[in-house]
Amino acid sequence: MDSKEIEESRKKRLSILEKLGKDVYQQIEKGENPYLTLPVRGLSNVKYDTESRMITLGSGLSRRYFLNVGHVRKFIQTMAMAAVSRELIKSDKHTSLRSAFYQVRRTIPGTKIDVVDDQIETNKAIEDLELITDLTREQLNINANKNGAVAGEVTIEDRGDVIDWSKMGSGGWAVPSNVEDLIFRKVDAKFVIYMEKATIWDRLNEDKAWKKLHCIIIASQGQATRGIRRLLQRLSREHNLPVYVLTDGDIWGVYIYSAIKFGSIALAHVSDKLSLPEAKFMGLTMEDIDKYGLRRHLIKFKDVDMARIKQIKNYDWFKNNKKWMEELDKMEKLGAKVELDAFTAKGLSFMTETYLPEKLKDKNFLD
Amino acid sequence: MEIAEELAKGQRAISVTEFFEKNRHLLGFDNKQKALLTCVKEAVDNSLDACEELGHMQEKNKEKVTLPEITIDVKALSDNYQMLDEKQNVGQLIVRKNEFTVLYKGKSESKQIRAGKLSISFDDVAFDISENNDKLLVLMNGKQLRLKKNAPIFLIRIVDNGPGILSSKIPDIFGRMLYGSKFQSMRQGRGQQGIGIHSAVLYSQLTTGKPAKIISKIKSSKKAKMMKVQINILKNEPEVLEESDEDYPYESGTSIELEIEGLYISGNKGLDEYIRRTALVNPHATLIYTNPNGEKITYKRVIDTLPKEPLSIKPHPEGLEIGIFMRILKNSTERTVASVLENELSRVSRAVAEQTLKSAGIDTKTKPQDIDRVQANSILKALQSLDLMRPQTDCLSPIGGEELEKSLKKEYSPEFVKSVTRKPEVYRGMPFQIEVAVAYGGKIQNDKAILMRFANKIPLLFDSSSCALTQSFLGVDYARYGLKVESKVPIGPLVFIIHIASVWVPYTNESKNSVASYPIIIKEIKLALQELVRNLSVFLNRKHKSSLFQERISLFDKYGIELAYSLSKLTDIDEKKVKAKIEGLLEKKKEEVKANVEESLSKGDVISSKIESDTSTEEEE
Repeated sequence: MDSKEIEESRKKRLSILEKLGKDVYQQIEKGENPYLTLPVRGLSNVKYDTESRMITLGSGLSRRYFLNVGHVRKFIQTMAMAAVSRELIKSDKHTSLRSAFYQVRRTIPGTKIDVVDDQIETNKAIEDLELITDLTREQLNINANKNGAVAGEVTIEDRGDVIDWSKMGSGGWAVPSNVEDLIFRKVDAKFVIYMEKATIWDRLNEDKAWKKLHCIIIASQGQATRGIRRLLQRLSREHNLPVYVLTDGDIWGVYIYSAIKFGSIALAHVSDKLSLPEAKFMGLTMEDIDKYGLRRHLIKFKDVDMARIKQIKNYDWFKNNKKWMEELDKMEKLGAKVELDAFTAKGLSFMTETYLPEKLKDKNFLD
Repeated sequence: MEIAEELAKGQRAISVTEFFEKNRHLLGFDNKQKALLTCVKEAVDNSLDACEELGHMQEKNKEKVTLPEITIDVKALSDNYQMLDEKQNVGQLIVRKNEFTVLYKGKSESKQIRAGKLSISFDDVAFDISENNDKLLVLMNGKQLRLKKNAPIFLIRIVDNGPGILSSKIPDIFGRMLYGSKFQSMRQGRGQQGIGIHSAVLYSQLTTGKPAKIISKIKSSKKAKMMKVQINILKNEPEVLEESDEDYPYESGTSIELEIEGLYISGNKGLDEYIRRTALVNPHATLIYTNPNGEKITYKRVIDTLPKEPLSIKPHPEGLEIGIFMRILKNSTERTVASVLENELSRVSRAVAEQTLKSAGIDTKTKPQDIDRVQANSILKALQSLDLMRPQTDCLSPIGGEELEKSLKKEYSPEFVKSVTRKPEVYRGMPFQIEVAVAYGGKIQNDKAILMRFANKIPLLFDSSSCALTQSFLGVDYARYGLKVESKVPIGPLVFIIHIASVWVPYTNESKNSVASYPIIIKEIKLALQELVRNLSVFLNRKHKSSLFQERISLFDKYGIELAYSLSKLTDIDEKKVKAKIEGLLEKKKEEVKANVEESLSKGDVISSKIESDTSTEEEE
């Protein structure tokens, strides 16, 4: 995106928000009960689309009215958040989820009613605003905290600064919440590995695995943030880089992979901007346990782990996948997990020198 | 006279005073606070009963009915000292303005003080009393005594506009212990197990040495008769100390004055509360009460009709006890035992009587006085095994639901009041009837419900925990009706009334403050309370809803202020203009908003944006 495109996007986003305000005002002028239209959220209106291989929102729409006891509070919270967002875009400033909460946290004059009581309410209002305007949180100039780390043979431009991801030392480059305006200058890497654990990233970075394998290594902590998911999607779409997900051999690792690949229920409305159907799983499989002799590092599952396996086996996007169902059955039968960290028992650089090259050579990925 | 008879007389005299001394607690004189209450209560009960009797007579004679008007004055009179020598209590000294009374060995003597000195003598001792600069000095036979201050002396005076008492009857009514029989009448009345006014007279005499002062006027005489009456303890005979003619404020009526040792307290067990409650359940009476603090409280009658006259009924065999049955046999004027069964018991026909006697192997023609205890017992058992008709129940005189509600409305101006009256029922052959009422809000200030218990229109203030009325009250599951509850008692500015009317209230003991727990009585009270609380709960729900309604209607005005602010920020239209438009909209959509609020209340919607539960297990950031 060049600067002209950026300016156009800004104007377009402003006009969407202003139209939202004008529409409501006109409804009031006409003496109508003003309402906002937004897709129904929640499991009842979420579908797995087999063609695009994404979790998407269904066509269910709902109206939120001002003159309705059950709606009024959410209605005014959404409008308050729209006003905050417009100010931010107008002045080309960004704010965090937390400070967005403080910007609408006020007591209605002459009453004892607070517009919002806690951040959960503003977070919901922001998600609603996304649904109503079809703009992402980042496009509304509201960001989450930066998170995670990147290293690899890539050079980017961020707000005029040129950054070389191969020269970021031991900490790597921190991925901002909003990666929309990043410009990729030079991409030499051939693929991307996303990992769920910062400790594994540190290990691979110290080995300079990204240099040896010609790849980009990205990590956050646990679930990938929106910024990282969008970054993975852009690298895949704009530079055709395959994306591999490296996790522990347990059900939570599987779900991290699932969210990156298919999207999530809570964020179904932004699946097309975040999910990555091409992503493949290169984490520890049940097969790897015997292949690399990790049996003595097994950690027994708890009830909650077993319950989660059953739940995930029931998701549409796993149910009809034969290979994955076999893998999940094996996991359930074994009743234990193995962590990536167990490889260090075989030598500190075992992953860089043996595990990852072998996986890549054999194309031994779950899809 | 026979020696035995002579002895018997003496025995009886001793037993009367001893009986009183030993049974103070049973009679309601066990402490000074209760004693004050009991004396007032006995007099007020008598007055109310007498006034009602007069009214009912007037009704029968088609005359103008006089409604009860009772004046109750209670004054703290004087100082009261115990006199002690080195070893023991020797007597009592009561000091009024300038009159000194010494009580010594059951006798009393009063004298005016002159020049700071006086002397009072009894058979073997002389008391010399002197007063100097408010300091009292008492010598007994020349030896100085120690003085210890006692409970103060109260003067109580109860004046009514009842029928009055024939002057020839005054001495016996007030001055003879156990005058009249408590088993005489099977009829709902206040003084059912009456320890009687003469107990109050005796208590007064024993604590202050003063006689009772009675003034009574009957309609046909011009002047009222005043008599100072005391009880000759040895002979159990009345003694009239003074007699004169006086004026009386009403056409007829009786007034009694007693001086007693007592203790005046305020609160739920105090005299003020007793009078208030008495007024509550006697809405046809006017009570004019002046308490020892000099505060005059007038409870004006709220209805102008007398309650239904309670009728006497004959005892029903089901609840009859052997002792009473023996008494009936003994005192009967009937010539045969069969006639006694037929005419002096309820629901026993001639045929049933003869058949019963036959099966008990007793000749129907036996003289009733010749039946011994064993025979009486077998007759009674035989009668009780029969499936006799239940006793008549139209003999009761409840307060009346409407009357109770009126009373509560006047006393508390409550937001809600409701009463429930059950049909009469029978326990052990005794008819009874339950009435309950509740009031909410208004002048009622307490956080927790207060229970007021009544039996035959008398407030029960003591022994609450052993009482069937309390137990039934605590046995209702108020939470089931949506009331908030704390240790079984509903929360809120509530007053509950439970009244049991019966020809024979089954008190747990002689102090008549607690009703025995017969299952049928408990059941009746619970059914009445349940119906009452259902009604209360409907009111409370409606009240709650209407306050929620107001709150929710006003929400839109409040959120409108916020919407104007946001919309103005979003559209750059002047905030005041947006606000005016929103106000216009709210005015236009008033009815729609009302309908929506009503719907939301009936569905139990909440106003919150946190109603959606997150379906996802993942955490975003």
